[in-house]
Amino acid sequence: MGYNKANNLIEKYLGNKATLKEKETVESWYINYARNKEDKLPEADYEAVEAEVWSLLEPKSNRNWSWQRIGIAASVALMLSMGIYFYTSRDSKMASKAEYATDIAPGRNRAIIKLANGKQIYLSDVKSGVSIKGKELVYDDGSNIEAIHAKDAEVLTISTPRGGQYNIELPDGTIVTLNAATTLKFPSTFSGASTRVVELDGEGYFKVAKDKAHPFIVSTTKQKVKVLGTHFNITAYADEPATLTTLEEGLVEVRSNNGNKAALLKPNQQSILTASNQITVKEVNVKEELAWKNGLFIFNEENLESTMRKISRWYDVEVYYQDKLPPIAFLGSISRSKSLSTVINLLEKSGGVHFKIEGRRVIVMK
Amino acid sequence: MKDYSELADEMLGQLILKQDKLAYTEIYKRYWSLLYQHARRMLQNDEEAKNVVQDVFLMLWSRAPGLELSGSLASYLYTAVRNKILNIFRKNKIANEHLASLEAFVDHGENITDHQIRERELSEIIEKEIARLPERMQQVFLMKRNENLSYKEIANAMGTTELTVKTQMTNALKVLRKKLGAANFHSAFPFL
Repeated sequence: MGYNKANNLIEKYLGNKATLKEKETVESWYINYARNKEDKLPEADYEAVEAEVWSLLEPKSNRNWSWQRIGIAASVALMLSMGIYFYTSRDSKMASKAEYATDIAPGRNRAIIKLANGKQIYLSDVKSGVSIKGKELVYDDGSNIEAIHAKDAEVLTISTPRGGQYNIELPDGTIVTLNAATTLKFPSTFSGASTRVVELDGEGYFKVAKDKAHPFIVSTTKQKVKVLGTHFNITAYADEPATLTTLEEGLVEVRSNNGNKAALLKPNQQSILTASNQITVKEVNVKEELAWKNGLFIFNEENLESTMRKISRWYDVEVYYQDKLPPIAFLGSISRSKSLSTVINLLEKSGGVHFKIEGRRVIVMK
Repeated sequence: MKDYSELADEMLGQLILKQDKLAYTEIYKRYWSLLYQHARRMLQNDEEAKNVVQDVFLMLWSRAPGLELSGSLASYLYTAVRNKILNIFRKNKIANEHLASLEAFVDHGENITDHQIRERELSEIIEKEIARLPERMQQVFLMKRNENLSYKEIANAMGTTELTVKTQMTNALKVLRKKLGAANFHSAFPFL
């Protein structure tokens, strides 16, 4: 008897207290175990069980009924109004009716780390994150990559290509998720400095480790974001018209490099820094803004050009506008793990626009 | 709307967040047999399997308002049923073969490191339970889930014509936005 080890493992797992490795173990084991488990019971009386269990479950109250009617009508309306369907992650089996000669796979875990001595390390695409632990570079599952050999604070650079995404844990425990075509520069250690400064070009979601004595500063071409310990997203692509900072949790200060304009953001607020160095702040749906990090594209009345810029970065394609089109906006959401043809197929269904894939080029037509 | 049975899983997932009773009924109809069969095979006990299914659905209903369906509805249900089963494995002091297997795996097994692959494998295993079900239940599951509806299908489900659906629905969104106001709009449709 006994089996305390296994018992504790499951207990930790169910209590959400398991480490990443332990989580992997329990889930992998279950798959393995379930695959080989034999069924020795005779066939059940399914009809009877169905009714019996339902009799215990059936909700009695009907109070929300009228509201539900609105709900369903609205959901259907949403699905139909722009013709974009809501795909679940398992719809790939329902293969899109792609009429495209070629198709392009979605982005995946890809990044390069550049050390101070110029050495470049291509990070594994079967891992999703990398971490600086002392003087070692390790994957988030604990496997070692290599020693950094930094004497003092040296500048390290992690870059995701177009069609790439990666997580990095900085020396202070701050975790950054890098979207495609993004570069983050950071020191191999923050110790000794009064502030923690990193440089971002592209889009990153930051979960900053709390350290009130050492403010964390994200510097981009146009602005600096200063925080003590919060969760936020910065979009600072050179090809986007504005730099966006979206706060999920905590408090941040955004200050423009030019003209010294500043804004203080509260959760669910987004600052927009325009090319003319004006900062405006608006309330946003954070879930939408952070959809990319959760593997989704969410377009909420997003215009064609902005939509195509996102697609271009994630599928590493060039977008060419063959025809002049009237303004079009898209509404809907789709998984970023779909192939390019699936995504543009959906966009086409909203009407008014057609696409053609030629090599790594998407042609936008009437 | 005549019949929720025509709705895709994704829509049911949205409706259940608002504790829509018909959506709940439909999810139960669609999934109970698969979950039951899986629990039954794993636990080799009818009563325990029934309890597992009941617990999973009770949880779905009671937690629906704050539920975060980050993946698909199916994936949520599969994970929930597996966790309920794990909990019974853990408590069961007599039938220790489960824990013995886990301990052996800790020592000699090989982990699947990619969480997406693990999620997919789990779905696959549970969906294969379908082969062990009577034909009628197989059909309910296979035909009703994951269908993305065309105008035509919606029209059929609603008992109207395709054109009517198109024209009515094109304007419905604008009207709704006005009615609900921008703030409510998002809380009403958290998926957007």
